[in-house]
Amino acid sequence: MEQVLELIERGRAGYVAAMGMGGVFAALVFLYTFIFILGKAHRFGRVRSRSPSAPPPGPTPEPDEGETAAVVAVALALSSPSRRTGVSVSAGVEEEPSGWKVAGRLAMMRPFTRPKKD
Amino acid sequence: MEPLLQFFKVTAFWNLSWGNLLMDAIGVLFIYLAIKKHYEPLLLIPIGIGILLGNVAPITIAGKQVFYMLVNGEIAEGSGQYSVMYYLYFGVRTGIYPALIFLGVGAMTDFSYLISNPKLVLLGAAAQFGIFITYTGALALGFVPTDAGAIGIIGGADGPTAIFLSSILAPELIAPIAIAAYSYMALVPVIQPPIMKLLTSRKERLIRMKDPRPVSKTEKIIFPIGGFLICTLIAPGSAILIGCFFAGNILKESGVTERLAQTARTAFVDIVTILVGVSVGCSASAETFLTSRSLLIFGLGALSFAFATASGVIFAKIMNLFSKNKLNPLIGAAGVSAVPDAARVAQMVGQEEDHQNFLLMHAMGPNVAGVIGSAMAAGILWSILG
Repeated sequence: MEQVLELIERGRAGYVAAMGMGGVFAALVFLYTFIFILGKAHRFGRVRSRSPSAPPPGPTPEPDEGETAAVVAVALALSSPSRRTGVSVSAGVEEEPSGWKVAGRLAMMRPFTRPKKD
Repeated sequence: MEPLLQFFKVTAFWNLSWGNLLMDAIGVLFIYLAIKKHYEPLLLIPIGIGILLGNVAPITIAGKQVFYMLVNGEIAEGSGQYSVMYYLYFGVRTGIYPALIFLGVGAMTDFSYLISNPKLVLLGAAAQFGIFITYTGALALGFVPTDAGAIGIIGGADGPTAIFLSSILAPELIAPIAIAAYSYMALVPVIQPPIMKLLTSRKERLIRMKDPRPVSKTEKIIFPIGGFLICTLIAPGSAILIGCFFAGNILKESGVTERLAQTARTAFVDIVTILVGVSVGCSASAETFLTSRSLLIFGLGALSFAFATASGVIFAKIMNLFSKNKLNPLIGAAGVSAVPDAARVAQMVGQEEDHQNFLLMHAMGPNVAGVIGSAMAAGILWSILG
């Protein structure tokens, strides 16, 4: 036992393990931070590009009669879309199926298990 | 009679040893496992062919001579009459092949999984624990530190990294280390599930993880550049592997070098895989491979793999203690970098409990982080022990 401990000590096992795991963790923690910042920056960029630009100063022009009529007509059409137009309003904003789910399902459909013996 | 005897002496039978026959049987076993059981066929078939080639007796007299030509029955060492295998093995000896394989793997890798859930990176780090446990175990068994470091890297579950580090730290052990690494990579679906089930409860295996967010093209381009700088600044020894890995990924993600990326991830990596498999197999001649040290290396390799799997799972459980969005601890096992088998095993074990639980995409995060982690560990071991 003493001999084994001596061999381990001679190989500086504790030092190598500490430096090794420390180095790997340090690098990957930095990488984590980098990805985190990258994600934040990406989200910030998206929010900025989506936010509407500020309206120009000055009085808002009054809508004329034609515009008002059009707005009312659209509002009515939207309130009961399927009966009046036969087109579902939600069709245009329907949530897309998640790519992750689709990929997962495809992966599941692919055979993982090895072929059985003949 | 005399001419007949003379002829017999130049056939393979004259110098064939029991060791050669045993190695031939191992080569045939590899080919069988690849064809019949589909265990890493792309690797096991070239290695199996290489083992057969390296153990044809007339060109393996005294162990290493498969790399030399026989001239009039004499080994032509030093005469410049090297065999073609000598030149092919050059890529293994100098670490060229592993770097080229990393370039191809980089061109195949999609970092979206990792970028969308950055904390998965830490699982790739935790799974490298097996490397250092095995390093200690190898020292205890009497290996010198350089050999122990090369043996420990088997726990990284990354064949090219194992070849790369052993070519630097323990060139005489390349064959057993590489064959152990590839064998255990092929056996990932057999080795990992019992450990994963032992360390997790049913409730934990049923955890469903949140769908990751979509990742933009800009993020995918910036990540490999930043990742390369971070990794190589901390462990310059990993620059060659990490550099090639991220370079391949930039080829893929840039969107303007699709032809290069396509070549790197198909024909290019396939050619190098054939060369590395045959060369490594060829170096496993009976005289160099059938030793007690090889058996110890195989034993330590299994230990290394088991510890790597366990440490990934345990670390995921620890992360769950502090995290609002729970991780399914099974994906921790994918931190060993056997891509994509370890991730598929996580998916398979998860679906044994819940058919609607799709863990594959989540497990790819730690899986690719494991590739980075094991290359980093190799770089650090090289810096300390080299």
